[in-house]
Amino acid sequence: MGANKIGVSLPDGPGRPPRLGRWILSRILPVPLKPTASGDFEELYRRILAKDGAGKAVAWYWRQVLKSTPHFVFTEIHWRITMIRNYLKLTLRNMRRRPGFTVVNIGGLSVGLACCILAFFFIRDEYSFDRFHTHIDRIYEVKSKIWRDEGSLISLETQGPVGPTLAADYPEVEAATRLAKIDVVVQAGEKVFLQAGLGADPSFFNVFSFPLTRGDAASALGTPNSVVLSKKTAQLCFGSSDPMGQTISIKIGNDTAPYKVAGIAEEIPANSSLTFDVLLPILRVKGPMIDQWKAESGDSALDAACFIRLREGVDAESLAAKFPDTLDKHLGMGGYKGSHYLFPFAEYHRGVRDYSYSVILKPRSSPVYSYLLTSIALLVLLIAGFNFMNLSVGAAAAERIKEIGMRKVLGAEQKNLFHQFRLEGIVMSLAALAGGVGIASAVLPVFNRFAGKSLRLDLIGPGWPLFALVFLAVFLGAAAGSYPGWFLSRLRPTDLFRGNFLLGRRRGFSRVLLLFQFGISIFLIITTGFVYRQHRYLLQANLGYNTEQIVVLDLRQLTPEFQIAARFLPVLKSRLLGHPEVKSMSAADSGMAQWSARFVKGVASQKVEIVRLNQVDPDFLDTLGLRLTEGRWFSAEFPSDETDAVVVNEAFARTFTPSQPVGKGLSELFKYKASAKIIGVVRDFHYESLRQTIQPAMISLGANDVRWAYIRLDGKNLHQALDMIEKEFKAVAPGHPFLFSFLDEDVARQYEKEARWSLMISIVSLFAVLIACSGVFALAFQSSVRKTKEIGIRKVLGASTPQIIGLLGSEFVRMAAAASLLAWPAAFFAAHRILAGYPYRIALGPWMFVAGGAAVAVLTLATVSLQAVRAARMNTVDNLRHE
Amino acid sequence: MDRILTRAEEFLILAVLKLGDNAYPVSIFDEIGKATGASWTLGAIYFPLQRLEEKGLLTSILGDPTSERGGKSRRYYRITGSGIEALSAARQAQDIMWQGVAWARTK
Repeated sequence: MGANKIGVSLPDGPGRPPRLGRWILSRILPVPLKPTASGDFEELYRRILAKDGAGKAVAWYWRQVLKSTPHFVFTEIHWRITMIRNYLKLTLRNMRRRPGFTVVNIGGLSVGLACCILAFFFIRDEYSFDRFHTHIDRIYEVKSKIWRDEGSLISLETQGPVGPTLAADYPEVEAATRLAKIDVVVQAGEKVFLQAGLGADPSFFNVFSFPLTRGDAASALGTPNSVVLSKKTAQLCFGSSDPMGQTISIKIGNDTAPYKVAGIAEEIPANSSLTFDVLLPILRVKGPMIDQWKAESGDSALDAACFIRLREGVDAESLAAKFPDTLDKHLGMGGYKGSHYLFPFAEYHRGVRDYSYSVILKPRSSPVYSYLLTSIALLVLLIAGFNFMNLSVGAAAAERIKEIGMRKVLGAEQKNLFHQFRLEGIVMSLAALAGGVGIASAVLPVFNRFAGKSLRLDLIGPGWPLFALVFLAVFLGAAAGSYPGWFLSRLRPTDLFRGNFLLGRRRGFSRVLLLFQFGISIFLIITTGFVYRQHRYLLQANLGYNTEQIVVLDLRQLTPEFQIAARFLPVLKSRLLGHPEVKSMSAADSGMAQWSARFVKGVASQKVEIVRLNQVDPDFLDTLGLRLTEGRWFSAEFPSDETDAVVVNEAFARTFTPSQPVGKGLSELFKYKASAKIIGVVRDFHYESLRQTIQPAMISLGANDVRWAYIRLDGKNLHQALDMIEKEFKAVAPGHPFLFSFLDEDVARQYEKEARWSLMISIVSLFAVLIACSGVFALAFQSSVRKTKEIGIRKVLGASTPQIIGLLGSEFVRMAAAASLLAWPAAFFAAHRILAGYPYRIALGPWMFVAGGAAVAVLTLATVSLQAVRAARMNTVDNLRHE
Repeated sequence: MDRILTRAEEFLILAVLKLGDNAYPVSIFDEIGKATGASWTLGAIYFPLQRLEEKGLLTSILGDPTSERGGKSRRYYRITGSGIEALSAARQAQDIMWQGVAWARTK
């Protein structure tokens, strides 16, 4: 028998209890009973065997094993809780002993987790877009395209009859609705509002799921004079009184007519691509022409978006396969081919699949930015995780080595120490999760504003994100705690007491982690830099016209009848020009950045293009500072300019009339304005945002019904000038709202998305870099501990403080350089992807890459200096005595 | 001792006390079985023994492994000073409660 008191399992022999019973017993015995209890069972078994024989003994043994099981399970649970409680006690003691370290460590991970939480909710919202439609997976948009060769492909909305034809003739299609968006002026009693109108067929509610709070969806759009209002609009018009059955007057284009309210729609969710304030019969928006196949003219003004809902189980592709022989026949013309295709509505918002453009739906999200946000969040979490590990190991190695050695001497098993470290990791990361949730909910309102979302942090909502997060935190903590636990627990106590030299041994791993942190930081700095500079560029680029000192008046609520009757524009203009601060004034049909798009078929040039049109008054050129490159501008000397002249932009000239555009008659090119001649060419200017390339555009005169006025001021006393303009406006158009903005601000507003993203990414990157810095700090601390003696000897030999900084810092600077090499290709790829989305963009210059690496190197050096100065200032005698 | 021993605990400590140097689960099990006459589950006595040890009323040491026990050791229990105190406190409380109970007269 001997020294081993734990004992061994003996082989089978005579007199031993049944083997299966023993095995079961050995499985269910709680840990503290393992060394002895099965012996007790066996001893009693043998006694009964000797007295009553094998049958009784076996029966007794089995009965005892079975009856003992609940007791053993209970004991095991109790034991585990006790162990965990002990570990927890030690963990809290350790955390309290080093509060600074604990705060830095937990804080870093909190930030990382907060980034992840926000990114998770952002992505979930992106994926939930439009998902509230009951039949979302069966809703398709029908689009058409026309092409002659690869380069001339154009995607379009469909001709009016496509929707009804599909619904009537194709059994696969359960419902179809055409949609057309138009701003309408709603008048209820004295109140006038500009609202977003949407023309639709009565089957609208069969395709989409917009529940009505009042009215019957099946008949809501049934008559030509019925209208469905959004809850918000109904409140605007009628306040608290019942809107159902009331009559309102709606102006669409130039027609004003009375409508009866036949339904109120529930509030439209924020994650809907399709929104409306006022839902009207499409015939009122587009006119009866919408129901006819178009003639040769190909004028796209009568096209409408078309959405269908397929019958259950119908394959979209098999339906689309029927189009070439049927629908497509209405599209081809000249040398052009045309076809229809189906685009799944469910895939619209995320913006991954190719899609032409939509005037109906909210802009899609930019997948590049979503990817960027997700990857940044994950990278920040990764940095934070690495940091967590490095800090834990670093602190453990530097300060707890003796503690660990002592515990080993006192009989702690490797497993116990390992559990202890792992639990410390888990406790810290759970604390960090609590912190992360706190941070995330604190910054959520700001995040929502930047991201243009209305997210809620419903951690226990659908999908139970809280579980996933707790799981993630436990995993992170266990992973981060396991490494130091594994590393330190397997060392021999003698090694542990000798201490410092060990720090060298495990630096390899920490350095790899730090290399990644550096690389990620450099990547983020470079990417952020490019996003920021691209945004600056968008704001400052030369647009080809003047945006400064120009006041824009929104005149969309002034009816043409009113404008003509009051001679609105001429009167206002002459009154305003009487003031010295007004330099010039003009008006136009389309506002800057949103010229109406019209598809026109070329005859002579055989090209089909989207041509933008604007009707302006003659002072447009001067007021906005456009430049003529050829020919002349509209002039009062040529009365025929009123009807028969157009000015085109350079893009138009390049596309349609490469040689000698001026003097060319439009009839050779278009059926639109066939009698007109081109009288001049203006230099290309960005009448849309810089996200679009400049498209061919035509300008003609037409100032009777204007929607936007532009007033150029001398810029001296803005407030006074605005007051004056308002007074004059009210005098000419009493009872109409005075809506104004500044052109430069309107232009900047186009890039709000870029502004938001640039700021958001900057902030997140800043956090990432800060976290990485705290990692550097921890490693520099270890380094200085490890090199204590070296520093002491060098100081004795006359080294200065900067030299000591160099001694400790050179290693990190070299690592920053190496990390740059890793980060550059990734940053190049990311920046290239982001910039590729902009036709007008900054160059991918090399200095940003260098700056990214340099920034991290400088920050590192600064961080190391904090540590190095401390080490260098220490008393040399203490340094050398250090053991 | 903030809590009076339960009857089971009292029996266990008494068994350990009576068995002297030979108090290990099998003998304790026999002792209690003899006293109460009920059929006990062997597995049921470990947890209370463990709790008493955690509270410091009992201590234990491991004996040598023997082959009749399948190569396992015995865990011998011994009562501690606070074990004696707890036992006498339990006894005292019981005596006080019994004082003046007049049930014998009705027999």
